[in-house]
Amino acid sequence: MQDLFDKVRELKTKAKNRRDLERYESAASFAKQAIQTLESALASAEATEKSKLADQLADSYGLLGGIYRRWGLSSADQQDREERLEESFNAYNRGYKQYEEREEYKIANSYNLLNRLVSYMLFNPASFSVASVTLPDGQTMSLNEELKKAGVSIGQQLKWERRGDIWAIADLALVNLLLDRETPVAAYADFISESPADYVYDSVLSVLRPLSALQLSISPKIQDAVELLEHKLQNIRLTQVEH
Amino acid sequence: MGGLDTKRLALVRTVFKNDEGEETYKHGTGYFVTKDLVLTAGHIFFPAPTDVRVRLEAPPDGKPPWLKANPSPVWENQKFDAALLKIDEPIHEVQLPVWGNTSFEDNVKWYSLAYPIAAAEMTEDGKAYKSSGLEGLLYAHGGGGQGLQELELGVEHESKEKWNGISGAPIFVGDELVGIIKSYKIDFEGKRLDGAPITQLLSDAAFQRAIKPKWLSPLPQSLWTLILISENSDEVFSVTVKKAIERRKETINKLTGLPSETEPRFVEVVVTDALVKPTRWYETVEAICAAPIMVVDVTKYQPAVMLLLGIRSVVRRGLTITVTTNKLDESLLSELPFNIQETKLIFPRANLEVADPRHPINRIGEAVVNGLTQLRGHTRYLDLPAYDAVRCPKPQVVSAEIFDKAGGAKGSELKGSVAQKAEPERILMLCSFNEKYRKNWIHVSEKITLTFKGAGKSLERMLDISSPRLVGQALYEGIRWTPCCIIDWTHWRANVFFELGVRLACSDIGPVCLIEEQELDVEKGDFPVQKGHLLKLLHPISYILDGTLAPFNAAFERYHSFLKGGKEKLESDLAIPHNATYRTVVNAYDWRQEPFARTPHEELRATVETQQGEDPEKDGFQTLFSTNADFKWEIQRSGRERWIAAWCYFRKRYVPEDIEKSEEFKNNKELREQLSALTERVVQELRNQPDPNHQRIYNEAVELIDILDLL
Repeated sequence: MQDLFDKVRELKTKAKNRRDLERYESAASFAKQAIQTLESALASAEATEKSKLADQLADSYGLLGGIYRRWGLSSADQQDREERLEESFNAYNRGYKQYEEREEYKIANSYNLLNRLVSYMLFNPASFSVASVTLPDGQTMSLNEELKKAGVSIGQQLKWERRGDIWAIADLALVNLLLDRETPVAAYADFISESPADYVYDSVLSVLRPLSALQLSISPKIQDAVELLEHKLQNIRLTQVEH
Repeated sequence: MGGLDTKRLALVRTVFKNDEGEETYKHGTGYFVTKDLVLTAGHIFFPAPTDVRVRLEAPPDGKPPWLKANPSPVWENQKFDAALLKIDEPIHEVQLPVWGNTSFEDNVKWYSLAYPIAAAEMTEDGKAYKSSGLEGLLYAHGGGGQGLQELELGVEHESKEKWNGISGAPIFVGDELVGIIKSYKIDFEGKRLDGAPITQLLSDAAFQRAIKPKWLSPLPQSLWTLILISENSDEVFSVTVKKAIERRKETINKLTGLPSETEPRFVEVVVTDALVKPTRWYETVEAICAAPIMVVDVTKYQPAVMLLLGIRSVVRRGLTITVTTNKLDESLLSELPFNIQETKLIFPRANLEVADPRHPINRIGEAVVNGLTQLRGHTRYLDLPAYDAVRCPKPQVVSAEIFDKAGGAKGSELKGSVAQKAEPERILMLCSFNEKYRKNWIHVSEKITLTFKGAGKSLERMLDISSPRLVGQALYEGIRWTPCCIIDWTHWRANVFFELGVRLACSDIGPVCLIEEQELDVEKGDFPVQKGHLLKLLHPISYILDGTLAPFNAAFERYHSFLKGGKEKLESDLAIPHNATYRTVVNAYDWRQEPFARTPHEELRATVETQQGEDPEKDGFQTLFSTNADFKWEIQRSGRERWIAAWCYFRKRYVPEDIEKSEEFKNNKELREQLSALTERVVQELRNQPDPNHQRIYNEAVELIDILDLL
């Protein structure tokens, strides 16, 4: 089983590297290989191993959703952009519905939970200001309500299973920012105080930047958050050079 | 029936081929000690023969005269210049020779039969080696001086430089085999020969193991479990362990990469059986070294079980599971022997159904699965004490005497100039700390102080050692490094026997064992069988409270015999030499479990993962205090540089310059995958790095992943 997880980790690294090199097709292919490997193993896994496999599957779907998102956002073609963003939502949504949300797997995470909402906002910015939207899978939801629910869930996780988890802290900051509950400085205070690694800043900024470009009432605040975090990241990189 | 049996004499021929395919030969004389083992000289196997054959002095009718043998001896000892050769097809049944004592008061007559070149004849088919009788005087007081004790043999018929071929010939005195011929002395004009005393060979545990029928071997090759069963145990323990592991078979196979249908394999050792004779002891020690999993019944902490557990704690990082069949409550748990207080002891609880996760069957199975997982993931995994502690370098301290000589200089001034190794300063005493032992301690410490002159400036128990280190750490370090270690068995304490096992396994100088005389009556206490065997096997010296110095003088003599080497007077079928356990461990130790056995790139990877976890981007850093920003950056920086180092090393060491043109590289999937994994990590680590050198390496790595993607 360890060999399988080693293999999956290597496939995910390949996917991330190609994503960062903007070779999205290749990146998505490696992420899908990781998913395929894990789903085959899950089909014949013992009960004790299912949870770990499902956790990796949720993570791999999240990775795939992120690749499609960046792919869509980088596209100059509007149709292509929308298709990729829809695929991004679908990947996150699948990771959430099939694994992250399922009680049986006991996964304490918000990767897909929150990012499916972000991808849907990018796919359909109007959804942020309407009471209810119909999703590509036919279901309806209120984005605002889903964000509130996500906030509650992440807050609970931070008290227990994900205490001190930098990704959970970043996710809660984003929810509070989007729901206009806190100023950017207040929202990201806990995040900054945890001294995250530079790649965590990169990841958080890769979510905030496209959101700040949308025509939303909250966009100026998101832009402030981007500037705040970019400034901090710049300081980190300068410190690294000095070291 | 003793004496030289000509049907067991054999000419031994080793064949060597050089690079051009030319053959050269060496000849020696051998003697069958069993139906398939020939005792002969070691030097005829040097450097490495391609073919070895033996020719019986009197080949049976209808059988080919030359018998094929394994080119690698099953046992050899360069110091003794002796080897045991195994032939493919055994000859007739033979009994072991009558081994002789090699200490003589007066000169004695010896005789042999050998194949000297002087007796060879040229025939139409080439050179024919003829046997030649030898005899002469064995000089009782010769062969000593510097180096190993040898047998000095006067021979009646000088042959100057034509003795070649007699090496390995048996030396008989009367009916007894007392040694084998090693060489001849040129300066005595061929009138003197040297022999290796048979007692030296018999004192080598590996020789004993080779000539006796096997008890446990062959041990399984892949994953298996050694079950150590205590004295008076019923079969429930063994059945429980087997069920526990069989129930988790699929998970264990997956964890260890075995095919899912692989059946678990077990080797059961009842502790009293293991102590019956030295050869069984050696086989048990080898099994303890080799067993990937060991489950031990520590019920009542029997001395021999604790002794074997002590050995295990030195030879394997894991996986060892200790189980007791006694129900324990909080008060009993607090009274566990010191050495196993930190181990995760599995014990039954009252009124538990088999389905209950706390039932021993489930707890043992769970412990095996968790242990195997953690053993793989944690390079410093431990489930017994001592393993890391005995691997620490010799501790350095500054003694008070030296400090005074330095004029009470400050610590910094002393550094590097007067630091001394501490251990020769003391004699280490391992004994009971029970109140009942107090009178023994007073007696024994006084007598040892009087008799053990020069062995150490002071006699110290663990209580007396002034080291500020953790008790366990200082104890096991001391057990390994203190030359003179005395162990008093009195009261048969579990801790003392665990420590005895540690000492036997990790020191080439065995402990000097003592015991109060009244404890020799083993029938009076628990576990009489194992105690009786232990007394024979390790032969402690008994003393009487308020008795004379005699036993302590004997103990001191014994210690000196350990230092001189090879002078112990033992009955080889009953007792083991002081360092035989250590020597057995040296040969059987599975060093592949150690991190240094990893290649540098694997080691670098492991050090990064120890600090950062396997997937830090997903799980975050595991290092304590890594929320400290400076510390976290340092961990990241260090990890980054290690990945680069691993990648550079791997490329230079294993990957051809032009991988696109190398068919060998293209066809080597494993090599490609390893290079790919390292390259991807370097790319991941160096993205967005501002340092121009990092950017250069990053670009190089990206170019490489492009090439690898196309292959």
